[in-house]
Amino acid sequence: MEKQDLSFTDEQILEFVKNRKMHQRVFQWADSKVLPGIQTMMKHRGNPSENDIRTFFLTALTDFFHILEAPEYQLRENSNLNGLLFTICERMWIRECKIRGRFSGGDMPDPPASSSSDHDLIHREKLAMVSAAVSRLEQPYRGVLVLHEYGELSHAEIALAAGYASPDVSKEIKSRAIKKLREIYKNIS
Amino acid sequence: MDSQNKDFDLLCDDYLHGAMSEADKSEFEALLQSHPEHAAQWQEFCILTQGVREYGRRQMLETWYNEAHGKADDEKPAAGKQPTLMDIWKAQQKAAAGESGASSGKRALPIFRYISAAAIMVIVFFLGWRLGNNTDPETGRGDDVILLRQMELPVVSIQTRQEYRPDTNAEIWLVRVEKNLRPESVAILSGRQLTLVLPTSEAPDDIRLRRLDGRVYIGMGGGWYPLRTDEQREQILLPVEDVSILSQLK
Repeated sequence: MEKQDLSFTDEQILEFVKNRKMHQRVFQWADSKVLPGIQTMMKHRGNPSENDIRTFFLTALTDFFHILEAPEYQLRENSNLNGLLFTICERMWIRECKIRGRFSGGDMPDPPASSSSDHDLIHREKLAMVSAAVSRLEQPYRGVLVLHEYGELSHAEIALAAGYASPDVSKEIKSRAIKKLREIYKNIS
Repeated sequence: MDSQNKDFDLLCDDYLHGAMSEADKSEFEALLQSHPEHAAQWQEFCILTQGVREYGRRQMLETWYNEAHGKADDEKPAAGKQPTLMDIWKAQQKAAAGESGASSGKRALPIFRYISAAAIMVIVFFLGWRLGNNTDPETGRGDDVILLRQMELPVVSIQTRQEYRPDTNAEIWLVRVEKNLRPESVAILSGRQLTLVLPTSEAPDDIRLRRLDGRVYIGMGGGWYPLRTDEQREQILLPVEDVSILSQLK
């Protein structure tokens, strides 16, 4: 078996991001190629705990997926996805350091202005709230929803796995799950 | 399309997942144009489903990161063996096999209490394993076989099965090699039954197991891969690069 080569081109990474079954590759690439630089940057600019590194890296990676998944996103000649992920994380960490007051204003430059529009920010905020609402859904609603939407399992596969009499049961549970999710989402938004 | 009587969320779901005929799709799109309240509900449905995917991905990311870097101390589970999803599932399968004809539709399923990114992966692989078999070696359930044959996703097929008895001790390993259409090489360890899920083009025929300094290594082709026997679940195989270990394994 060949050793896994994680030196992907930007085109490959974009392709992996758009294919959920290949997300593991993006995780491995980010872990191997970008995280070491992020750790150095965070330690240079502040005093991060292991949990800080974990939180900021994962949040940056989530934003990275958002940006690349947008239908309008296109690679350009000077695109640098390694640099993009690094920059997202750096911007968040600088802002956090300023908030924590570990640095005087003069030592720490303001993070570069984000290019995100208000619309993007509102959209992301909505997704974050839905995500929080999903975590409050009871089972089996959460399980069926996540398996169908993120796991990309069909209702027949979910029914087989969960022991339901037919795929229609899974479909019905998902329909109820959406209604419950909508209710929770409205309550927290 | 019976848009008046059918739940609108179900229509949205069918439209989103491509489960509509072209005629129904056109009718659904016309409905959105003519009814602003339906258009708003559709927009909200899209946000909700995107949020669910967001949740799933975050779970997957956290699971992956914890696996790669270890959890923070305050996140580690309490000591003692936790049942894996596969354990729970197999127990359910055995229980179900003993209850002929017991197929009530909406049982409360403990499986869902453990739903997580890892669970999703295990479910996908478990389904693949089930789909690749004509009989279930543990339960031999005929009714499932019929259902399996009706499904159209043969992700995995069994290639070889062999017993391995290391010279140094009496352990018996049942190594099952499965082909995988995905690029990852995955090992699933359940008791002393090891399932290797290997990329289609790379399934080797010279699998060896070695124990060295308390760790178990799998040799395949020209490489060696450490196996975490403390983890009774799927794990991605990463090659050993330490020359001193490699020299002892060969």
